[in-house]
Amino acid sequence: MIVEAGHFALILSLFVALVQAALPLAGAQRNDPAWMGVAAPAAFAQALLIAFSFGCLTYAFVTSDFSVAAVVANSHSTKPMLYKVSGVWGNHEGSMLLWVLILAVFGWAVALFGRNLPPSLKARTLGIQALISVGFLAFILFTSNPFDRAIPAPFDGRGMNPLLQDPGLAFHPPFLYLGYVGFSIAFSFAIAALIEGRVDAAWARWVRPWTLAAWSFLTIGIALGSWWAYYELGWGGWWFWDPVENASFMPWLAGTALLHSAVVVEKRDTMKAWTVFLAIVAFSFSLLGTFLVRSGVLTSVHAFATDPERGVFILVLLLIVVGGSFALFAWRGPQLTGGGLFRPISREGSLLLNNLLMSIGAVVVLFGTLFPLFAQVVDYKMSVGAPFFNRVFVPLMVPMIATMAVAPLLSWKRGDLPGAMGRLWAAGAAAAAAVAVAIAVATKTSVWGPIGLALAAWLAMGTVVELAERIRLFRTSPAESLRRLGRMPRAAWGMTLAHFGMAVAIAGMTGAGVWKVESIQTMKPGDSVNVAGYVYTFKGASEGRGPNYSYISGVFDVTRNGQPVTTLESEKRIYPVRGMPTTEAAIESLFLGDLYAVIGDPQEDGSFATRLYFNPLVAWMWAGALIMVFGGVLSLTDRRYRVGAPVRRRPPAAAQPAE
Amino acid sequence: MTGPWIIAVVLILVCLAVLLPVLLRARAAAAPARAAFDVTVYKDQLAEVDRDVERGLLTGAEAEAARVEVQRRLLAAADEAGKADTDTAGGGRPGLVTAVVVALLVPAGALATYMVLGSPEQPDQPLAARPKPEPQVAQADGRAASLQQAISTLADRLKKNPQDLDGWTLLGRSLMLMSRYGESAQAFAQARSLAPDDLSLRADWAEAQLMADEGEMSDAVRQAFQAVRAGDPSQPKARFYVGADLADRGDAQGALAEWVDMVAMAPPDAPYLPTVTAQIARLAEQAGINPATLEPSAEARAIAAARPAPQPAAPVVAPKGPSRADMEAASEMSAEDRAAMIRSMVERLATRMEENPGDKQGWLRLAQAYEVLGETEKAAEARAKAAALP
Repeated sequence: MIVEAGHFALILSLFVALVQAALPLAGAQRNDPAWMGVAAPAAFAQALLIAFSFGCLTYAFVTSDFSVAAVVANSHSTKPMLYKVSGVWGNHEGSMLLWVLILAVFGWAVALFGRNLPPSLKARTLGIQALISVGFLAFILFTSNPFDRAIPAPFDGRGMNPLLQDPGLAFHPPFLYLGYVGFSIAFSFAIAALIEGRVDAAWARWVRPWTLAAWSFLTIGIALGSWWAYYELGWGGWWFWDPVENASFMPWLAGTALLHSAVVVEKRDTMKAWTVFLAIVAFSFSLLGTFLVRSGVLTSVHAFATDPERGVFILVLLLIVVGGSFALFAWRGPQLTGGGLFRPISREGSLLLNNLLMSIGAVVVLFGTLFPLFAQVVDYKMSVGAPFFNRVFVPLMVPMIATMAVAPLLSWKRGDLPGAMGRLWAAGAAAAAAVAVAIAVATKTSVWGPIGLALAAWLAMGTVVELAERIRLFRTSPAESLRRLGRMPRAAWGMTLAHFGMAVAIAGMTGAGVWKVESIQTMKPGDSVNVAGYVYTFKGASEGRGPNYSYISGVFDVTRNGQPVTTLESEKRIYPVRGMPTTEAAIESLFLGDLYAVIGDPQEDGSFATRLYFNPLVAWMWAGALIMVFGGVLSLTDRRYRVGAPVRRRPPAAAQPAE
Repeated sequence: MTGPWIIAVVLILVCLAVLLPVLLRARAAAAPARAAFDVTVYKDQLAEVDRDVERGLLTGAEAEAARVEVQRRLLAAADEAGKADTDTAGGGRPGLVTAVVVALLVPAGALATYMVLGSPEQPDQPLAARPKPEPQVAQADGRAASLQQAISTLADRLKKNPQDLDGWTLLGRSLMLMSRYGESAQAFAQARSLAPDDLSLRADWAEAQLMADEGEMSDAVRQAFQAVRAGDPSQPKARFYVGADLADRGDAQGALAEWVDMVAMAPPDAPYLPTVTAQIARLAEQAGINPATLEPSAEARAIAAARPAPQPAAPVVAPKGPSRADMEAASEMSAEDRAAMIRSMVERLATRMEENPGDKQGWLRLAQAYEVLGETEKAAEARAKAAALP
């Protein structure tokens, strides 16, 4: 009964979305307030229905209702409760349902907080949002229905992929989706602006916070994903330029560019068309990402061909959304002229430069991701792997990071580059020091090690210099500086933290990417191996059973110069339902690097295969990502986003000021 | 039975209660003019400049420049707002007709679609509320448990005596029955290393590996099937999967030829016959080929004619439904899962190679796997190791 009620609610939400798409869009065209007014309540009804439906599916997973096909395919009665719940979105059907749920909740949020939007803009935005909903709900209901029944019901499920039975991965997809779907708001606003042929001042204020929220979620999602790859796959690696990772990285790049160009629209009333364009690009990448991950298009053309219904639906949906919005942009985009002029050397100019570099970066990633797919279609085998990305993408980012430190020191309209560089002497000195340290300490010679650390130091110090400039440190009394520090707007803090976090993350990527030390061997209890100065002693292994798996657990004592550092315990788990092993790496994060141990298969002579690593600075990467997200959230709470709405009666002179 | 309908009616009523009031409500005065919204934002921006000056974030001159710019926009907007005063038409039309249309179409559309997609007569079946498994099922469970027991005993024995070819073969088949494909493939691989020339074992291994890969045919598996097919044209598994692979690549003709030959050469009581015949019928229909026109090749007829009187069917696991079902399962697995799975398998292979570096084929396999993953440097390394071996 509950399962069927959930199914019905989902179908009903499709029809509500149709109303939400048709009436407000037509109403905005005819200037009919009643029709436009339907948008907000419809968004509310839609969110309510999909939330109810999602709740029903969760109920089916929690109670192990094996009369539901999705539960049979992705759950098992012995699974721990946490993973029964995360199993709801750990599969194609359920994850699509989560996607529309987030979409509907975001739409509702626009309806709720959109009092200060011009009514026709709000109606059109919600209408476009509903059109996206219609596409996805139809996709779910007609090709990937999570409420399909399996009658007669089997007595147990097939279980979930054991690799996914992990807290990191249980919460990774929801964050990614919050990011992907968040860009749908910027997209809907962009399309609404194109239909209207104008970009209001309120438009610019609105696009930025939504993008900021989406960007923050996406950053968390990507960081969680790479952290999971780091400790669960047991290779000591954290980023593989794998299509799935690229799929989340492309919208991140486009979204980061959008975030910065939206600032220019808001502050300077220019670069409007470019911002609208980026909003479309960011959401197109999000859609592509969703489908690349969920349809299996990328890994196998064959799988795609055997399920033509789903594949064709996806292609058509992508074509309509991406092709339609770009066509609209080509038609209406030129009308969106901006007011403010600026010189090439100015804050706008440097933001634009970095926008371009990031967009080119995104295109490079897109090319590297899709090219093997097309090659496969024409039966030409090739792979585009990490070397391609390291050679093409990474050098693109060097000038971008270098500019990142300079841009905040340039003023709007017309900047003073020599002056800014002069004030950055401290950053230059920090970069030089970083190169010296990198060369002195390095165990392996590499060009990228010193370059990466120098960039990190340059950016970190550049960000600190900018903060010092803002509070006039050393140029006024310490008390005055402190007072200025306390009164800095949150948006400024957000930028400082996000840029500083990026610097920390770059240091982490450089350290772990260039100076990783690994050692693979078989060890008997009592054997010792020296990895980068840390002596790992294998103490022995034991077997045991977890809730739905059996495991071999290996214990290592780690010492440095004879002093005990820590004890690591790594597990190799075997899940009998799927007959698949997984590794649980043992990790001890130290300030300068991670100690990382993995136990492998037992050998005939009683020894065990082991893999031991020292990953320098790797934890900095996730720390940096966290700092960036914190900056994003802080900026989101800035008071300037709380603009009031004009009163309902003319004259406009009576409009109330903010707060 | 009535449960879902009651909930459906409640959901519809809630929906209409949310949607309709806006349409029915007496029209309020028209909304403020468009530009009034711009004015609000610009005023707020001016206030922000003042705040920044107060905080000392902007110098007097900078603040003045910013103020002038915002004020210019503000004037333009206020001007527009004044003009727009006259044309805020539109309000006041009754929405009654729209309300009635929405109230009729939304429930009607939803109910009609649900009648097509839903199964209103099916109750929930939460595990806790279901009757205990019937005796038959319990028996099957018991059988599974005893098979489980037998498998672990066998595995323990093989650990002590790894040269037991029959033992490994039996283990592989039993694991296959338990759907533990990955382990089964490993057992068959052990058996193959003891009897490298046994084509049937090679086919068994390839089938287990294919299942373990969730129906994705890797190059190694494809090569194995093709080699077996070349060495022994009557080996049913090889014929079946070579055909499935062809069908999968769109070569229906080739696939049908393989399967028709396979049927022609099969002993009349072969357990896999019904599956293959059904498969032929399905593929022929899809490809628009009349099954009656399909003839076995001369080679197959010759082999069938030379076959002695029917032998008892070998205890093979019947080839499972061809890749279609498997492919569906595999396509349901997300790319994420699959990539992760591939990685974990490659990693296992890599570990194995570190322990047994004399295995040339293994190094080649590893190199291939790395190439698939795009790790070209590691692939080159593995190839070099293979080349260094005799």
